Amino acid sequence: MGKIKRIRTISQSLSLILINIGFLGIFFKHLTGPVFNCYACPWASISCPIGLLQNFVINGQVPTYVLGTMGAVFVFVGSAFCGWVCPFGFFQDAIDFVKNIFKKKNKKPRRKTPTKNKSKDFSLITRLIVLVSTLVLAIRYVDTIFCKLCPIGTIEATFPYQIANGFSYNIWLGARIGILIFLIIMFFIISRFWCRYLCPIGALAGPSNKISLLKLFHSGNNCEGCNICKDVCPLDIDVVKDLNSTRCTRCADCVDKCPKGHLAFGLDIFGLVAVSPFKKKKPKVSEKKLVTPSTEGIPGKEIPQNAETLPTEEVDVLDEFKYREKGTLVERPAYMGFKKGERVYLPYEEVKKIGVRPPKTSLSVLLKQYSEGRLAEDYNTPAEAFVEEKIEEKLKDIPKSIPKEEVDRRHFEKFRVPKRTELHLEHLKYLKELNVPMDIKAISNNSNEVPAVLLAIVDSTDQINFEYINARDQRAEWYYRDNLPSVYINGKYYNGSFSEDEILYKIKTERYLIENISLIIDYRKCIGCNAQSCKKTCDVFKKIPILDEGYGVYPLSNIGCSLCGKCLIECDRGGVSFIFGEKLVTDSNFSIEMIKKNSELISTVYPETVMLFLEKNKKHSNRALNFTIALSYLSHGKLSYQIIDVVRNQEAVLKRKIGAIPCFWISDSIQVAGMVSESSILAFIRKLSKWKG
Amino acid sequence: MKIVSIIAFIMAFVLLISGIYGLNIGPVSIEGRQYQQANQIGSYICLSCIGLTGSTVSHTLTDDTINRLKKIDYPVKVWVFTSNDCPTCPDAKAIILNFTVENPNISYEEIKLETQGQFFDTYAVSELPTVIFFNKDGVVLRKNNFVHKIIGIDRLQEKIIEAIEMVS
Repeated sequence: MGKIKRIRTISQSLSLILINIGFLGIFFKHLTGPVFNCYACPWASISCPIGLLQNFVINGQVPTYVLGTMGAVFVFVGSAFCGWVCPFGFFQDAIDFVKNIFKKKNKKPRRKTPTKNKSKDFSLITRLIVLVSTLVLAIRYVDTIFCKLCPIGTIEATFPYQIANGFSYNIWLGARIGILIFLIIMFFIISRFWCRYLCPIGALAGPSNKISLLKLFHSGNNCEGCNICKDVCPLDIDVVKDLNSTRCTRCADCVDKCPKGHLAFGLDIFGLVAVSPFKKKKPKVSEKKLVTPSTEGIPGKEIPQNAETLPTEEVDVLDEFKYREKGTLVERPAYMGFKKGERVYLPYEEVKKIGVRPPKTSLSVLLKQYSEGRLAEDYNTPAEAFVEEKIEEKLKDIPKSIPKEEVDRRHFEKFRVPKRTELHLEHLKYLKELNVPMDIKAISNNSNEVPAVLLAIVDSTDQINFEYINARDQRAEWYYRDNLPSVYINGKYYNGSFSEDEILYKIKTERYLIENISLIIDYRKCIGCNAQSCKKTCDVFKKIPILDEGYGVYPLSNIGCSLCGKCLIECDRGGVSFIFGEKLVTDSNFSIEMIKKNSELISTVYPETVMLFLEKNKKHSNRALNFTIALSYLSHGKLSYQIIDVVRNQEAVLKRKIGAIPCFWISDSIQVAGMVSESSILAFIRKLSKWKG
Repeated sequence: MKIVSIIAFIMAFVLLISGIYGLNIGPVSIEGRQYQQANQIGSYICLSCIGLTGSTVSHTLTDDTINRLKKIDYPVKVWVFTSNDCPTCPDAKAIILNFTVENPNISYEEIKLETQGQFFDTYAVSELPTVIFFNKDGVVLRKNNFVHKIIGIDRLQEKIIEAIEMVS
């Protein structure tokens, strides 16, 4: 609970006592105020404005006194009494509090869906209808009909009366208790339901927000659109767009929760002078910062660093990341039955001993060496020679010297699949050299149906994380099962034939993707994020530090990511994206909201392979790449893709007559070239799917 | 927006001051200023207006009540607090009138909010209708050191006959 919210709770409880101070024998029922408190409560010390309004109207008078009192409050502070004084508001806040306790237990993230258009906001109209119908009914039946149904009257007057004088039933009692129960249920569903849709005082208080002296201010210059104010608001107001909304109760929760202190209450005296009594926090100057794990310590791909953009302070943060929890975690490839493979830790002290290591050796290779008992001195030897050695060692084991039956038997024990073929020697060499972790999943009705070639490939390298899924298993629901057996390589459906060459080609393209694409995290969007859906969806994010500002650039091969694209979809704030190339190219307008909305339609796509013609370090290329990754994930991997760097493969470009870049190419008739927008993507998807409309 | 807010300011204070100083704009003009009237409405609650009690009740006494009433041989004085705009006060009055008809020992008096407001304050009556009882010496009936009040018209007959039996 923030500071302002604590003050507000104190204010609400104090005013609840002050309004109902009749237990000390103090009554000032000459007074009224814009608060919803039944005057029939035995302890109530002030009068209810709505009850008075009805009585004056019945008596045939214009209720100037009541309207004047309410108006005098409204022109000064607007609807602030609703949030800070009103007992019924306090009651609703208490229900919200209870609700939040339950929510925290269930650990459900509280992100609101984008609100509807402004034209659909009926809240003020319904409140006015309640007010007008209250007065009309009072005049027509010469009776205070509203009071007979009033929910706060049930709490404050009916229950004490029934307890003191014994239970007695009449039809109004049933109606009002029914209404109270209905409202309490609604409070649990929609917070501040009464204030939002029904309160007749709010019908007058709401519009007064537009003209009152007290106003909400927002310094728009540095706002980064984190929309925390919108999430926090109990009335679901889009605070930044609609500062003085007619729904607002001036509860100041948004001011409390704004991480940068951009919101504040102030007095706007007829637009002439503006005074803000709340102190604003100093907004931090946000700089572009580059955070990369490939500085000294852990070797990896060297990223060219601009001296201007990279501050030197970042080293400490990195240290924390790199050696978190005793050391760095490395997962060895897992086979069937072993979901998560062996884990190898590299302790922090050992890393310090080793000191600077040669560049261009990937982290996984180094750690493998370490785990196999190599000394620190050996790290200075070139990595390539080492790999060659190992291949020869391993080659001795595999073919011909062992009888075929023996191999089959071993294989059967391991995979429970009784087949095995031998790979071409060059392919075997390539697979031994493979230093990028891969995920391969095979879905079939029977383990015998898994292609033998695939198993041989999996068998010959440690880097492939293979998993067999039975088609009738629950886990298989997500996958495409029309053509069994289906194979997923790094979360993308593989729709070629099961020949050795083609699968190897696919693995090569995946490797190219992982080696050339980097993950970007826009840390400014992580501010105040409670959902942390990235950490829930992927273990990779548990290794990455979450900072307050700047950007994090992580080459995929360094963090062991297999580019499934789930994080891109799950992050509600658009903080995660991918880039093709080495440079940090930011794209502020990028969003995949529209694609997310149409996820059901995208899932009807037919399996296809898209060729993406991209240029490195270009904004629009990156945008196209991100769209593709999102589409690929949302289509359940059916849309697989491969990247073609235009600069290097000019032959491929000329062959397909591609005029503009970036370009999605499937065939001559199905392609999108040039700048990519969300609508053009959807048009592209329409051609590929069952969706027509 | 500037002009609108200035107009709203002026309007609000004109209304407030006119309410306080008794400028009755309505079709019916009532004596007293509006804040005094507000005090009256807020302080003396008509229970059936709020919906706390039923709005209809039968006036005829049951046989049980009449039998118990006939046994009473000491004088009892009953006060009924009423007001002009209370819809159930006439019902309460009519029932007590039936009591007096059956047994001459019982007498009743009506206290009207509009004319005899001071009695409301002495007995701390804030709900309408309210019934209280006195014995022959003019001592008010108490229960647990509080003035025994019968509030509202729900089960009024039974409550009154019980209270009358307690007076002795």
